[in-house]
Amino acid sequence: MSGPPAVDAGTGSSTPLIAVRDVWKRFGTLEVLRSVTLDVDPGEVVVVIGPSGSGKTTLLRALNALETVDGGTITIKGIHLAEPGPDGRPRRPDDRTIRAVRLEVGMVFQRFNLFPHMTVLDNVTAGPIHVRGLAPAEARARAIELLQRIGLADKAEVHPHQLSGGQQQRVAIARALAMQPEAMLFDEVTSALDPELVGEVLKVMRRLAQDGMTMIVVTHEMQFAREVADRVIVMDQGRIIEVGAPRAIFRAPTHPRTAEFLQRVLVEGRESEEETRA
Amino acid sequence: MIDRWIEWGPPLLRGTALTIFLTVASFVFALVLGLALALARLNRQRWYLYEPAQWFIEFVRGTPLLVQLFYLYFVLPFVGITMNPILTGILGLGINYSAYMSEVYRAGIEAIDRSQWEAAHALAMPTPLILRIVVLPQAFRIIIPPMGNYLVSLFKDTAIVATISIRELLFSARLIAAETFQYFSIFTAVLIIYFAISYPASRGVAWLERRMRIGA
Repeated sequence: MSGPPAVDAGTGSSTPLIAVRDVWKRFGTLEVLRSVTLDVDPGEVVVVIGPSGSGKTTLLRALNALETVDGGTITIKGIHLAEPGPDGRPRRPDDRTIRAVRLEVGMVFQRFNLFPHMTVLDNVTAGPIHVRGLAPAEARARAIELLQRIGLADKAEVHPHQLSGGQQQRVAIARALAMQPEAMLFDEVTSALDPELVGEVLKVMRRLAQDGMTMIVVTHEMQFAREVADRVIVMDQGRIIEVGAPRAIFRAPTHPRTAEFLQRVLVEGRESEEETRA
Repeated sequence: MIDRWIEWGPPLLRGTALTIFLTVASFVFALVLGLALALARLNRQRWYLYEPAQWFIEFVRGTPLLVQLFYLYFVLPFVGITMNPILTGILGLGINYSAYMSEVYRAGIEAIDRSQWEAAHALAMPTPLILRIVVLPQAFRIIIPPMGNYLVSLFKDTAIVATISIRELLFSARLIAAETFQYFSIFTAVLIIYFAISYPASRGVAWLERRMRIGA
C-alpha cells in the first residue's frame, strides 16, 4: 500500500489510560485503520484532525467497541478490548468486556442521538439508574447538578425535540458524563450544528478539559484544538501521520499532507466567516 | 315482534360478549407471542431462535385459519391433548394472528435508527435493556395503528370459531335461526351488531394513525 508512513503516537508513559498498539481495521478491501499506535494518559486532551475518510471516527468507535478491529491491541484502563487470540487472529471481545470498557469511556456523537421519547432528565438518568444501579432519587439529583453545570437545568422536563441542536448536544454530553466515565470520546460533535450554536458546546467541552477529564476529540474546530489540546494527532488514509503539541503542528507542520490539510480548513474557515459577515 | 326480540336478545348479547372476550383474549395472546417471534427473528446470529421462528411464521401464514382451528380442535385430542372449545379458539386465533403481528413488530423495531442502539450501547446498556427502555417504546408509536387494524380484523375473524361450536355471536344466531326460521331478521341483526362494534373501532384506529403521524 502507498501513502504516508505511520507515526507512533505513544507517550511512553507506563500507565496510559488508553493504549492502542498497531491497530488495523478493514471494511471489505478498504483499509480504514493502518497500524495505528497511540497512548492517552489520564487527564490528557488529545485532538484528532485530518481529512474526512482518514479513519478518525473509526478509531474513536473502536475505542468504544462500536467497531471491532482486525488486528492489534487496545487496552483501556487495564481491560483488553482487542488482543490477538492464541491463533494470532484478533479475538472477539465478549459482552462483559465490552460493557466494562463502555463504563470507562463515554461517547458523544455527531448527531446527538438523544432518546426522543424520554425527557431530558430521563435521558441523563437512564444509564445511572439501569446500568449503574443508582437509586432514582440520587440519579435525579446528580443529573440536575450536571444540567446546571451545562446551563440547562430549566429544561429537565422537556423532550429533546423542543431543544436547539446546541442544547441537545449539551444534554448528550451530560448523559455521557452522568455515567462517571474515566474518559470521554467526542466524534465531530459540532459538525451537525448551525455555526452560531457551536460555541456553547465547545464551552462545555473546554470546561470539562479544565476539570481534568481525559478526552479524545475528533473535530474540525482548529481554534478549539489550538487552545485546549495537549496533543494534536493528524490522521490521513488510515494512518497517524503527525503528532505533537498544537503550537508546533499549527505553526510548523512537518508533513506536507498536514500542511495541505491545515491550509484547506483554515481557508475554508475564513471563507465561511466572511460569508457570515456578508 | 317486540317480545320475540326480548326472547332472542339475551342469547345474542351473550354471544356478543363472548365474541368480544375471544377477541381480547386472542389479541393479548397474539401480542405476546408475536413479540417473542419478532425478537427471535431479529436474532440472526442465534440460528436456534431465528430458524424455528422463521418457519413457524411461514407455516402459519401459509395455511388457512379454518384448517388450523380444525387441526387444534379435531386432531389434537387424538394425541391426548384435549382443550375446551373456547381455549382452542383463543389459541387458534392467537397463533394465527401472532404470525402476522410479528411482522408488524419487526418492521417497528427495524424502523428505529441504528444510532439509537449505538447511543444506548455507548452507555453500556445490555441488549434486553435497550429493547425495553429505548427501542420498543419508540417502536410502539409506529406499530399502534397497524396493530389496531389487526384488532378490528381479529374481531371479525372470531366468527370463524362458530365452526368449532363456540357459542359466540354467530353460533348463537344460527341456533336461534334454526329454531325460528327467522333467518332474515336474525342475520340482519348479527351484521348490524358486528358493524356497530367494528366501525367505531376502525374510526378510532384511523384517528390514532393521524395522531401518530402528526406526533412524528
